[in-house]
Amino acid sequence: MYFIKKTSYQQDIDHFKHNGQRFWYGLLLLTILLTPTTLSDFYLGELSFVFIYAIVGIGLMLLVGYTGLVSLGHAAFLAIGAYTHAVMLAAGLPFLASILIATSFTALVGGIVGIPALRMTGIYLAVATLAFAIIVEQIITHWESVTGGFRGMAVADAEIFGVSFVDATSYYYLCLVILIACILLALNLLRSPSGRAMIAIRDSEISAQSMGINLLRTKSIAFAISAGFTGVAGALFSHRIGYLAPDSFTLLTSIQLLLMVVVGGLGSLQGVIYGAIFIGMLPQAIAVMKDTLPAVIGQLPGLEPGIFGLVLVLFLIYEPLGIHGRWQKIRRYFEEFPLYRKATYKRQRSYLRTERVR
Amino acid sequence: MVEIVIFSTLNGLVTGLLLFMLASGLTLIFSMMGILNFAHASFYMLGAYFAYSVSLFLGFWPGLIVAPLLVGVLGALVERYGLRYVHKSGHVAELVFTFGLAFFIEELVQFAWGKETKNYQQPEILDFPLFTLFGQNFPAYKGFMIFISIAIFIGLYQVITRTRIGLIIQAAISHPNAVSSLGHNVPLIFMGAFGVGTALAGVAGVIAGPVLTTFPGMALVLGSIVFVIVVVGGLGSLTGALIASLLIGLLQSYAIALEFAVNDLLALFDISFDADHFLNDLWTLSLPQIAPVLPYLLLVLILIFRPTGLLGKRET
Repeated sequence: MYFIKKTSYQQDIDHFKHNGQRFWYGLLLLTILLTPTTLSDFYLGELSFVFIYAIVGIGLMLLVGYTGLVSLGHAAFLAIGAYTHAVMLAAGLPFLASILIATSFTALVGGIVGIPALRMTGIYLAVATLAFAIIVEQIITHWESVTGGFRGMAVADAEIFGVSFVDATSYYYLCLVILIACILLALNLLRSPSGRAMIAIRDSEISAQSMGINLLRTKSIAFAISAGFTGVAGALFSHRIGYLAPDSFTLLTSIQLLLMVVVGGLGSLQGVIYGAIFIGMLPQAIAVMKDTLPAVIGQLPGLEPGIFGLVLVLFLIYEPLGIHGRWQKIRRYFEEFPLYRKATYKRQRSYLRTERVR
Repeated sequence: MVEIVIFSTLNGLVTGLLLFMLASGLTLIFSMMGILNFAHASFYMLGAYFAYSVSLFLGFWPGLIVAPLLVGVLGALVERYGLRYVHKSGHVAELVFTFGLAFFIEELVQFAWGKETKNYQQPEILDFPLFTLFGQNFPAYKGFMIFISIAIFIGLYQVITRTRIGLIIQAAISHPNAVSSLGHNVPLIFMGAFGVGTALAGVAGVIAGPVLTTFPGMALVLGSIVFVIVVVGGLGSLTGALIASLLIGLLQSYAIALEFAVNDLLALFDISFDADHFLNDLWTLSLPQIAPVLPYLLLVLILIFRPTGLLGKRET
């Protein structure tokens, strides 16, 4: 194992623990920056989808993984962000102003939704956010003069200071820049007092309260920030799909988003990225598999959600800690090579657990 | 007007009791055992399809017995080999797991029975009008649905509150360790209760299949509304679930029957808006249009003003 000798406070709060991390993350960034030179437009488009999912994932992870509040309604925030952005663009606002308004409006809605959340815990909150998502979906469907209802509405092209972001490569870079900004924001938030307060609430509401944390305020802020991230992602999402319709933001979308953070591994930002890659790439993987499978199975209706479901079920039975958890286990195995004990992760605290198993 | 009121009430009663049949199983699983089961409506769908297959060979009545049993066994297996492990990692994992299961079951159903609607018919013996009001027939099958639903309520209530098994289940839910040290097999009790819960969903499927049409999307239609019923009724309360499902059934059937818009309500107070106001689309929505959202609005109101639900005693 590699132990780091810390000699200053600055080193302790640094995002990178040692130079090795700096090197590998730098290499990763370089690879991502150079990717557009080798991949076709189609795959670049899919990668920008992964980036957008990752931004939503960061928002949802802050809420579910760090504050311990479950939301089944993030598709609604995504929709609010996307529609606000599209409406503002249609009203003639420039891209940057519009995305800012979309973000702050979504955050505001999130903060308001978060206030009654103080009185609800666990299951209740999940069902309440589900209801919120369904109500928002219905409003979008029926508010035809603004959202176009089922006919949908076209989204204007993205353009910043005369530079167009319509083609796949430039849009890829736009999403990438916003994603990196969001990651940095989340990392810094998590070591600020607000972020620490969220984690304290997740671990124990009672002890957090007795340390002087204002539950209502923190939970409401957590909801607002989470919705804000989702709003940014919604704005980017609207450009990516080009044409908004209510059926892009159903309950299924909410579940996909939740699935992303669970499969990635609750309580880690790396997990979000793994989860986003998983969710973004799975449909492609299934599509590729479909071609190689015999026609009887390959042409089945609804094969995709079925496999999706199966993967999910197997994942939760065999690796409840998610991809990030599995990766940590693998790393630890090699780090402590002959001495690795399986039980290391057995006694780890699992958050958001129900009453039955104590 | 009297005609509308009577028929809306009757329809609401039938819908409500049908919802209760579905919700009774979930009450056992979700509100008593505390297991989030989003796949509950999928078991209901499986019940309908199993019963359809059985009815092709043996007729309706054997299907009413066989299908719920099959569904119950399947449910017990899901608990034993899946949910039991997932439960340890908490609500979110459970929720996502059962969602995955719901997708998987839908896919299986499409694989086995195909995508089209099945011609699953009610038994001929019940194919007559029970009584006639204002020239409209009330089918005997709906009467049968009401009967079964009330029978389930009374039966389940008696079993849970009056029998030894019911008492052990109640004790095992609140104090699993104490009950297991008294010599009861707690995991087995949970598996059994889960099986019974899913079997009840199966019964609902068998009964609802002929009325609400048997097709692969039938689970999705009712999937989230049963959760609303259980939460509105209050966790851990069977009577609450009954009241909530009747309430939601009546709410929906009246909403469909009455043509009101927010506009009309505001007109009573002499408030009016221009036709080209940007919120105009929302003011002119009529009740039938917003009928699908009403249960969720009810849920939000209940959660804000009475977080424990109508008859619930505990939170979460």
